[in-house]
Amino acid sequence: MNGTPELQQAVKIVDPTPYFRYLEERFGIPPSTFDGYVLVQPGRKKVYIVTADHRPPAHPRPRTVGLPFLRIYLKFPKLSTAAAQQFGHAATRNVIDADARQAEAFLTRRDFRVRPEQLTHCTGRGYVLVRYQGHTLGVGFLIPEEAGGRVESMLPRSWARDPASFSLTAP
Amino acid sequence: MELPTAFIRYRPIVDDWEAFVAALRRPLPVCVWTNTLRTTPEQVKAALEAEGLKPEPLAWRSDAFRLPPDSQPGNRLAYVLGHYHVQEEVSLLPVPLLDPQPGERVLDLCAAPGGKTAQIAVRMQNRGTVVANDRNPLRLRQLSGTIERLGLLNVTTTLHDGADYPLESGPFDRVLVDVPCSCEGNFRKDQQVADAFAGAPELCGLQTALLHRAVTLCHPGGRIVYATCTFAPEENELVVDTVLQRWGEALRLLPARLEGFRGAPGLTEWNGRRLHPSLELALRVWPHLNDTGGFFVAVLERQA
Repeated sequence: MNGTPELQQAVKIVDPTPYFRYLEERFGIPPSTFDGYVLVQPGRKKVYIVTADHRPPAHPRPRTVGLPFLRIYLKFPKLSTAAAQQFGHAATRNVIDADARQAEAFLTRRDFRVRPEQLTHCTGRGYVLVRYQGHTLGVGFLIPEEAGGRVESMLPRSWARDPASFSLTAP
Repeated sequence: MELPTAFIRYRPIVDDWEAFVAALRRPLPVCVWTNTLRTTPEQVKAALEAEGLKPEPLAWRSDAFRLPPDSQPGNRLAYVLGHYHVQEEVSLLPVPLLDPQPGERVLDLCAAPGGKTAQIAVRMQNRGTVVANDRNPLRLRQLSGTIERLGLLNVTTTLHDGADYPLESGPFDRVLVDVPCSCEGNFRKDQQVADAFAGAPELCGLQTALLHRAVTLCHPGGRIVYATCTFAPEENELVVDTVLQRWGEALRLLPARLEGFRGAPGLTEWNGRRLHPSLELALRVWPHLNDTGGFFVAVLERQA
């Protein structure tokens, strides 16, 4: 799991163990989900995930290598939206199965409320994966409250839909 | 709608001028292709139909669909989930002709906004190496957005002048060089295309330098695909002819043909200049032939 010699020359390879452990603890994603991939850090703030046989050039220096995986140097590393959509199917806890109105709120970058029964597989305050019709939409932040909880949409601005024209409930 | 006066000079090389002019006056259909890493063409079709759209499979590709000109498939759930990408039909031509294979090293020299990069990465089954380069940092960011939404795990992006791309980055098994051009073929989408710009010497110089660099970066035995979205022979056959002359026996053209897609052969003569006879293997796309934009593709193989 060290990547090709070219990859090692081009970019900093990251020890995945603590990140995979964190994803397993929080979301129940087994580390084997990431077999065949290597974690790298081309810049400062983000760890990327790339296919293990990847052979990028060292010159010019890569801007990005593979898919953004985690944003680090936060209190808790945050899984990227792209990685959540790619690997979220493997999660077993801290997953919210959203209804159409909640999913619509999430995709238009608005907070939404969740009912207590939607929190059965949630372990408490922190990052959650938001799923709709079996598809992982991205990452939210759960704040449990007395009557359920509130989820903040962590969808990046560039992924967000315009609430004036986007709808899941009325085509 | 006024036909640009610059297009008049193409009258002798268009097979059916009336049909050409009529096609230019029609709005352009919208096209989407399936991200087969995430879903199937059947599911994309069903998702679009559920949204009230009427997807028609392309005549030459069953995993891509044509939609009416006013469709907005970019504002749908399946789009956000990376199940398909919205891209003009002619922009689907170069990658099947490049024919990248899983595990190879492939360079996309002028890659932003990344639709063709994404097609390459998907065809390679998300394995191996796609290096996507562009010299414009804002457009490179757009490319990163495409990579993220489609879930591509085999793409490295670089920011560099393509004509001066470092030689130590190579060699590559295949190189796509989709050059900046006068974009005459985009007329149905954007009537402001700078027709006065077509065939400008600086532009052709850049295109020639990019193609030459692409050949230099390619492995002997490897394949180079040159593409533009313009009708101007100065930016198409003449550029390829110049590079063929420079490389001599070391470079040859392969047929650029796709079953089910109607194209015209490349020109072997323009304004009294005789071009390499093999240029007829290149593909010229006039809008009326398939109800698309205009395009040009040449497929080259490096011999040594």
